[in-house]
Amino acid sequence: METLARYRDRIAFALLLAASLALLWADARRGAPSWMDRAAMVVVGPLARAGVAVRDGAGSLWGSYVALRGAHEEAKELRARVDVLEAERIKLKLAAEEADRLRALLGLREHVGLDVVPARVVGRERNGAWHVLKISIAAGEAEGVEPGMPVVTPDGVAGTIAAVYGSTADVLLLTDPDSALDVLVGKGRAGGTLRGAGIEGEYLAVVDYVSRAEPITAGDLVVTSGLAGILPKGLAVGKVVRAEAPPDKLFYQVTVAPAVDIATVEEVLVVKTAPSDRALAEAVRSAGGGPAPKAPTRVLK
Amino acid sequence: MDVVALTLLGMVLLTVEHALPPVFGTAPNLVVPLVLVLAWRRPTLAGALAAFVLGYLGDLYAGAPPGAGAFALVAVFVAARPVLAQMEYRGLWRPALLGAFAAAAAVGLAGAARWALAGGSMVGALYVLAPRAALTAVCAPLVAWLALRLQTSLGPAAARRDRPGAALPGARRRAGLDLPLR
Repeated sequence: METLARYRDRIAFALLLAASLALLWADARRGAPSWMDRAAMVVVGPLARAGVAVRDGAGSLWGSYVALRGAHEEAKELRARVDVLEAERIKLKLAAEEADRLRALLGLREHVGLDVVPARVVGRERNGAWHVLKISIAAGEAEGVEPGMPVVTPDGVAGTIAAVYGSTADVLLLTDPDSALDVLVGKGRAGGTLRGAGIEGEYLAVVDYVSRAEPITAGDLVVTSGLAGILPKGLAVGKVVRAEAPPDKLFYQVTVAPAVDIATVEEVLVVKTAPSDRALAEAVRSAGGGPAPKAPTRVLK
Repeated sequence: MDVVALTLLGMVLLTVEHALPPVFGTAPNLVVPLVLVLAWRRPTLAGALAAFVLGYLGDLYAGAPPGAGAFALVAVFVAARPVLAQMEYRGLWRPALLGAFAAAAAVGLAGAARWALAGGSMVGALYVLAPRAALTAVCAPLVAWLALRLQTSLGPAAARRDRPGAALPGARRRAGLDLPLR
């Protein structure tokens, strides 16, 4: 009995091993689950299903997380690309606008048939109200630019060269009270001299002493007269804003809005004229009674 | 109490094991480290019965003929008892190495039993033997730590106080304990 007690565990282990093999052998013989297997499956089945459900849920959650992370990274990348593309788009738009302006300048160059110098606007002198008083262009002595030469754009005449500073030059705008240009006003082509109105905060010019032989109304075109041969006749200068004719006066006083947008002009053409032409133009202006131009005649070096 | 708790933990491990996505066509044997903990801390008939139940349930989980898994785990339990009487089954390397060896032995034993008694093939068992042992080695330290924590917190005071493996008659004598032998 004592011997049996000593070997009880070993005997029990041996019986368990034998029972396992007997189960296997019986299952192989039977070919179908026993009642014990079916009873155990009542416990095991739901557990196994729960395990698989947890696994699938975790897998789905992980997949969603990975996808979300991927989407986040992708969104960041795309945002960066959008920024780059937007910058490129703006650059291309500006280049296209510049190309359009240059094309128009080229067209003007061919149209006027004169010796011209293209130039970029590199500076704008403004007053306290941010109103442009004067512009500087990137053309100077090397290009043969001299004071008094007319400056034009595809929209029309902008002004004349005021002074040359080496590689740049200042432009006396049409709206400057010191400027003067021979023009034709309205359908009746009444002649006159246009000068800057000098009104604070407004880009306007005036033409004094315009004949009242033909009626002039707001919206009438103002073009170059072509006198003295500096500029071809018919280049746009501006549009009549108002034409005042006091009963006791024989002339209209016409206010003109320049055709060129002074505040935003970026490229211009300088019309190269001979000094003799400019002297002739001055003489014509003097004979016409217009104010003498105060454009500087010096070249600053 | 602790054996029942370890058996329930074994069922949870079986559920996890069979829910894990296969790696190299197999999964780690999460129950073998637990059986080794039983063989170390509860080398009694109760521990062997727990190994038997877990092996049987493992067969049902796997959809294999029941009995082979039970045979393999009881055999591992019986073989591990004298080995673990000489060492502690804790830390990182011992659970990993012994777990891998025991997992390989369990695969081999179950395969052999199926081949001998149920007309199964040994090829499948041999194919998964190495990856299953390797994967078990990775998981065994964690499972052993978990099972030991559970067993220590629920086991009898004597078992907690005694040196691990002291339940074996030889170990009791070597430890100089005069606890009654069973």
